[in-house]
Amino acid sequence: MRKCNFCNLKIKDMTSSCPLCGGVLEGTDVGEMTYPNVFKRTKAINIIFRVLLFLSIVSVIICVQVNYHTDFSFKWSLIVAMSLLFALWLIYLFTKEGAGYRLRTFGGVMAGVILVVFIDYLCGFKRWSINYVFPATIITVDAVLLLLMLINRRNFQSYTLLIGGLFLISLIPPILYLRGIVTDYRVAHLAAIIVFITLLGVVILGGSRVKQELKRRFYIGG
Amino acid sequence: MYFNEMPSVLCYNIFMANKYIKWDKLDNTANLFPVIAGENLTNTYRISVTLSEDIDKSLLQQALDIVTPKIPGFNLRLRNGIFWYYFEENGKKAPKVREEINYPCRFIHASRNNSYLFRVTYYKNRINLEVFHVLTDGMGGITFLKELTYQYLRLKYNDLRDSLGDNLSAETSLNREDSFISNYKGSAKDVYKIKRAFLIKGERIPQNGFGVIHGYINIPEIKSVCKGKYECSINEYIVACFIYAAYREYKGKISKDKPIRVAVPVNLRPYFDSITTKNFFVVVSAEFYPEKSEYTFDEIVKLTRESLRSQINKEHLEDIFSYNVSNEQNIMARAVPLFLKNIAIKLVYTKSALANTTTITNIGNIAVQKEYEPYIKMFSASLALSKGQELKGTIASYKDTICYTFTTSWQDTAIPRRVFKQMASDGLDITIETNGVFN
Repeated sequence: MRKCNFCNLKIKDMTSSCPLCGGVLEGTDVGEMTYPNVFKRTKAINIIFRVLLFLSIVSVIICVQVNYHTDFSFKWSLIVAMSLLFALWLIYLFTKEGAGYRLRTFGGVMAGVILVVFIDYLCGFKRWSINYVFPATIITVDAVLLLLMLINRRNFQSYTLLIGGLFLISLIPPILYLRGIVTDYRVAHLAAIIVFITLLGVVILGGSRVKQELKRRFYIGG
Repeated sequence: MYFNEMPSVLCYNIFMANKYIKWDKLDNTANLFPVIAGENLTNTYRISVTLSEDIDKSLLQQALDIVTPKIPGFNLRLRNGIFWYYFEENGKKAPKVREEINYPCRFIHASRNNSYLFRVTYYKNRINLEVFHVLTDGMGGITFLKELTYQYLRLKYNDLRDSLGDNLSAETSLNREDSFISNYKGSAKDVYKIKRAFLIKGERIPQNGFGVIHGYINIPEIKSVCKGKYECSINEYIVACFIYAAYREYKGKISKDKPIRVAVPVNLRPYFDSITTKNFFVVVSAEFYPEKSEYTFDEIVKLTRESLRSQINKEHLEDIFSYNVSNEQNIMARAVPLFLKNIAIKLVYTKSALANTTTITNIGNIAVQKEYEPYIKMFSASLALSKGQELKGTIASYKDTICYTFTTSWQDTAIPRRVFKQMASDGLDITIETNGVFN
């Protein structure tokens, strides 16, 4: 083993200088490294993300310029900007280390809904986004949750609160209908009814497992 | 069939899984960890065992698959309720064993780890167990690593399995009592120091590097220095070495308002006759600030010894955790939704984290069954860094050797150098090993 005469320590590493003081080591022993050589492996996806961000900003600047100098009464460049932002958000969600399926599903869906409402608004707000797209999305998420429950049967009860939350969201379109913002009640009501039936089914058929789940989730301590 | 049996039967038919899933509360200390943990503050610790031969990945995976379901304190996933986090039995396949390619003590993403809160890696002849502190403290980690190692060795060497059987060893506790609750004595006064301590700062290792420095010290040698020369325990000596190193290095910056404070976690099990594998420790702090122009090492040892001995007694330790538990038990606090609790916990944590210059923990002397000794060379441990404390020390020992490990994000190794130099000047023979980031 080599020795640092400045620190008076033996050095096991495969190095010619002391890792603590930088002094040249005495002896001819080669030594060994017992840890991997960790290089910060810059992920290719990070580089792609940065390139996409740059290209998106450039595209938006060009689109806004073209839109402004042609016909700015229809602000289509803003649709391009929002769509690119949505795409970047999705890339971020799906490449973020540690992001779970819940964050990805709800983060992606909610951003998608905001995008279509925005597009509808820019296109004269004919309300197709809140009449049909928003409630249809709720039905789709409900179907996805049911599918996940079947796949992850061992922990099916852990989706109960998510379905409960989705039920609260599904009440938004009918409330908007009562306020006169949504103009077609059919899909809005259908979505609320479907999610309610799902919730009811899970609570009743889930039996003691769902009861336990709710007891645990609402446990207050003591 | 009675009518009231119908729902569960239907449930069984539809979901084909009606097994009761066990659940458990987090212990008092563990409530903190999920709130503050993230990429930069991982709250993960590592305990490693070095064997006499290189590790066989597939055997290690097999061993992990066998051991994980048997140890309830590790077969868990963390869930969040409306008011508290809680554990639930995991039951999924054990996490994948991987070769070590990254720095130690990185954040454990449960969502990419079959929801488990620990990971197992290997490198050459070393097995690393990394544990999210929410599960257990060092004692629980040692128990799991020992069982994993035993199982691995039994898979590798049939004669061991033939002579010892293939079950968990009799020395292993699976107890999951919350010893904080069962030993707390009712409401107590706030005993925490939250005044800011002197914090070490410097240039970081490039590219988010994480430095590891092991110093191997002979136990009989250090014992004779501690007892013969300084009349202190090994722990007191090691803490004193750190304080002296920091004092010498940053002399002008240390004052009564910015003292050197070394947090020392104390295992409470021996004091309260507990064998729990949940967290059961409190932290005391050795404090030093200069009141005169010059201090010798002997004087600093004396001050450190007095500071630690005045705090490490059953009554004081009880006061510390009783204060924490009484807060947790408070009916008003219990009814606060989790997201609000998290905000409060983060604020308190930030204040208390900055109240210490570093943490030095000793996970003790790890003894293994005699039959496995020929296959095991050494144990070591390391701690993740935390806010304000980007240099920490961990002590683990096996047979006649102490492994004193520094983990750091600082490029400058002045403190570890001074610590080991002090030890060498006391006549100790020290061997240094690093993870290569300082060369």
